[in-house]
Amino acid sequence: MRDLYVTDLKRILKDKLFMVTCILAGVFALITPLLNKVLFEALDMGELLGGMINAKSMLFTSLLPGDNLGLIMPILIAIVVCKDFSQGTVRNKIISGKSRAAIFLSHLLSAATVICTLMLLHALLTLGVSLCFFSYQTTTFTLSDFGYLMVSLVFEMLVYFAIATIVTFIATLAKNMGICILLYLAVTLGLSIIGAVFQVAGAFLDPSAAGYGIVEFLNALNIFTSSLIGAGTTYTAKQVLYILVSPLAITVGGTLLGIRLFAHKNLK
Amino acid sequence: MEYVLRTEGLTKSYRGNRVLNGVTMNIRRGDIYGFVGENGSGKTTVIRLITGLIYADSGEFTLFDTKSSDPAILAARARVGAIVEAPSIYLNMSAKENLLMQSGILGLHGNEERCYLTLATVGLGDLWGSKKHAGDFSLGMRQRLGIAMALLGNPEFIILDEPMNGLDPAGIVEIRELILHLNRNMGITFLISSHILTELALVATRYGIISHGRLLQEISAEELERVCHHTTDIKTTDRDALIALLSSDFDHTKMFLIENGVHIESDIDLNDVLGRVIAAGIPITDVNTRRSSIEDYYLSMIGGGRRA
Repeated sequence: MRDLYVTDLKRILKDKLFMVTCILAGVFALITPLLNKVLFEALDMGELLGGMINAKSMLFTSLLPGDNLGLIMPILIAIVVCKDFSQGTVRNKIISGKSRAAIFLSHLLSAATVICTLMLLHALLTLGVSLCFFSYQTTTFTLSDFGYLMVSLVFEMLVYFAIATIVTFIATLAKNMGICILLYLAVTLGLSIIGAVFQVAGAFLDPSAAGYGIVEFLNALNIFTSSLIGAGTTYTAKQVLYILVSPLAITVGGTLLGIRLFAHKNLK
Repeated sequence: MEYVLRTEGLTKSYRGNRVLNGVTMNIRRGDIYGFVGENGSGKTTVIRLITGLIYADSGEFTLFDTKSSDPAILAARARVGAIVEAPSIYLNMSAKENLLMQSGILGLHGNEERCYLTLATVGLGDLWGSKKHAGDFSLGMRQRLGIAMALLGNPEFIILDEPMNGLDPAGIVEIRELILHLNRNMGITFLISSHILTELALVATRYGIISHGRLLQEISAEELERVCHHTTDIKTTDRDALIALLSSDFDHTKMFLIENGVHIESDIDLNDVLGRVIAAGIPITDVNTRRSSIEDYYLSMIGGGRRA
């Protein structure tokens, strides 16, 4: 299993698309805070800078799965995973006597390693660039804020692990790059749109209205909006439960189902 | 008799179309098993089943005494090297990187010496320091790189699906010599499927003939040698006299009428026959003798169907 993981990781790192992803990560981290500053100042909305628009909001926006790198990178990594099937190199693993489960897990772990690491580096770079233009938040940055930031980043990484599971699941079973991209876009954009609708509905619905609780619940479970992460200064036990349940369910369920389906799949 | 592979009644269908229909074959240790069949006969499907890429609908196989239903089949498969259809190589990597990747899969991380020696074995040693990507290789170079990757794990059994595809004449000779070297000097058993039957005949020690998903026959190279007899065409201006003379020597199943003469499907003593024809005063206008080949035998087995 370790042999496969190392090999798959090398395969991803050697692919040109990985370089493209790294360049995009750098470009988005540099441009996004700068554009925000220029645009808000140009629109005479400079008073929002440092308030609503600050380094903290830039950091967590950069981690949104439906935006910029969060949307593009999983697709690029899915393509690289898919190449193992389209180029037929997965045969080398099967013929060498590796189990289908080990092959699936190796794809998943290598994709998760790359996605989580790059997203984290991208977010930290975005934070660093943002701090050149804005303060982290309106209040003084305390040790408690640091702890909240660290916990939030861990939660975000769990979300991206779940996304890596979706990526691997689709890439392994679709085995075709075109279908793989379409399926991932359908899942990401579909759930992002649903999340946005719920957020708007939540803003307009009276908290005492009958459907409010359901909207709030479904939105909290949607990893593609992950609206609970990084939005406050502390986490309640209920929020932690909401934040953890979806990524863990997707990761465990997707992995088990993926292994089961892949184990019975005929390969070219 | 020690068998490397035994299959028993393998069947496989794709979307209701049966491509394998109870294939039972046996490959002995040390064999170079030539797997012969027309396009779509099921050769590659059998190979995919053995290598674990697909699953059989029914039947099973035994690889190194391990049944396909036994979880230990994975360990048995680790003793196999294979190229299925096309070499499975990383097109964006050099030959060296490809072998290092394969060594990683096999758990031989960083064993550069072994990788180099394997690359040299297939005649690509010059590429060791080259940064040229496999995607820029010729078909023949890719084929050899694929064989190197199959060899890297020191397999006891190598499966090559159409290994001569895309190779130039010199490349074909090199691969043939490599197969013979590995078989004779290292005791590696081979299963080789190929359309180029005359080429296969230069290396194979046993044959399996498959057609329409059924294994029609397994035959050793020696047996095949025995059944591949000579044929002779004798042409004359007096065919009736010639038939009358020869009918005492050959039964009607071995002798066929052709234009201005007879065709004899049997080994004959040509000097003796021609001597008697001449002595009988029958004029001879043409004599043509030919030895039937594996291709003729194959065509006769599949009922004169399409040429492989």
